[in-house]
Amino acid sequence: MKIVQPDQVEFSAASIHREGATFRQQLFDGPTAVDNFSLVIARAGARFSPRHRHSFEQYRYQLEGDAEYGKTGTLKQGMLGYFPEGMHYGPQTQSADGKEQTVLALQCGGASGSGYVSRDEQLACAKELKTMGTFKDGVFHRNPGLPGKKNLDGSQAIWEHIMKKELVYPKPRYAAPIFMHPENFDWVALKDAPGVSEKFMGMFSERETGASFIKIEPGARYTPAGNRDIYCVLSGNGSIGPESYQYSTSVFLDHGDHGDQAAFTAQDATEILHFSLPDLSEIQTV
Amino acid sequence: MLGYYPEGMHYGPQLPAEEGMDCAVLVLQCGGASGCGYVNRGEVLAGAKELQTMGEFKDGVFYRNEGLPGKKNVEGSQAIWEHIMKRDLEYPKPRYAAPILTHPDSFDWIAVKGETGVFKKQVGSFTERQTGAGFLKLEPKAQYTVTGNRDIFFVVSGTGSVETVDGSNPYSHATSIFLDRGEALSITATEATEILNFRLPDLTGLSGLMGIQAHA
Repeated sequence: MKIVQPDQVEFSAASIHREGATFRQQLFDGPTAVDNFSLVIARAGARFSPRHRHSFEQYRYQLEGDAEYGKTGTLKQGMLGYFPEGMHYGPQTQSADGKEQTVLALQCGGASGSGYVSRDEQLACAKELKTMGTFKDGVFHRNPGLPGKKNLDGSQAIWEHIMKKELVYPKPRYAAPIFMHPENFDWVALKDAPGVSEKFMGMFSERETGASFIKIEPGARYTPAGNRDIYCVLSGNGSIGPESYQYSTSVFLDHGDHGDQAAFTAQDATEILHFSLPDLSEIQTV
Repeated sequence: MLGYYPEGMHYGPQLPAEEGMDCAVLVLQCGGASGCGYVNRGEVLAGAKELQTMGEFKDGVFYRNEGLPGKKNVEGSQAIWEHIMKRDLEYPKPRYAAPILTHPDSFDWIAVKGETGVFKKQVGSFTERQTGAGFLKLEPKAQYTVTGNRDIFFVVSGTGSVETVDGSNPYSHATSIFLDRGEALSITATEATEILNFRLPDLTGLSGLMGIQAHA
């Protein structure tokens, strides 16, 4: 079990390989692995990334403003998007008109077992690649005379540089990213948990990546049983085990984390975004 | 491919298949999470026949005859619903931005724990009432027992037998089984078998917009 409080993590400059100024608060990240994941709150003004895809999965919850993903659609404030591995999306364009947007982004190794490279390692690698070429409009252009592909998507260039092999994208399971309107889902009371309701958004892929919202009424208690789950507080105050929670307190519950230590008790009305990470227990290597 | 078309969500237009390119589709339609319910197909057909005496259906739209009360031009399916229910149809707000089209061949089979020769591919589960779809694969001679929760099983390929409280029956392509809550089904494959499994949404406690209670 891990708990991160918002005041423990500063906002810092995010990626080098994408255009625009993005600042991120890195709530979770871990060493590169099949089942690695990161959770960040990212703020961006002007931003551009070309139409691209990843070998990992993403959920993006739009906290403030709208994010434009070209023909993929617009993720408006309050919407949740699931971006499956291997699936093209974008281009993402955000004009420099002073309209900032803030997104809560979960990225994790997906059902194919392609894994997820830690964000710190991605950043370090992008710095290294900058000595061998330039990133422009989200594409890495390698300097003439150096071995390796000339022009390729920035994120792919980083992956291939770290893993020292060609990236083979998983075949997409869905025809498009899945954008959801959480306000159009109804709350369903949880059995045996008075004052606690859930909005189940969906469960995707054969490894069952999932997302839902949890609502806890003042004084009510919610005791989840961990199975590689992430909880991020969207509103409200209360306690989680021995610690207090507030907006953006984030909790990771591993297999078997449960009981009083993992119980949320609401002081005032609370809403939490919950992600179930895919079950990759039988997949060992990237 | 397998498509999930959520309630309240626009789709189409659906264009006719090219000449000589017949297509066949397995379609499940059911009352959704909003509780708007589902009018049975027999009643829909009877409603359409009745409406034909009051106007005409053309290109999927119902055009009411001049002088008759009611909306002039309404989408055909909506016209039938409103004729049967005797009120305006209020579409639920869509929960997703688009229908969800899936490529089942891109999903991997996952061995079912504790079973030999039985595999699953969960394709997805949607809405707060958890409408789901997935595939089940049995190798020859494999046996699998499942307890229903308003599930539909459709045999895509293979042969074998199924056993329920009503006895044992052979299965083959297109054999379809509805398993209500708590009902048990035992499947024994003679040949390699693939089954499409739909999980109907859990509408317990929902009286909804139709003003009728869900099946308990």
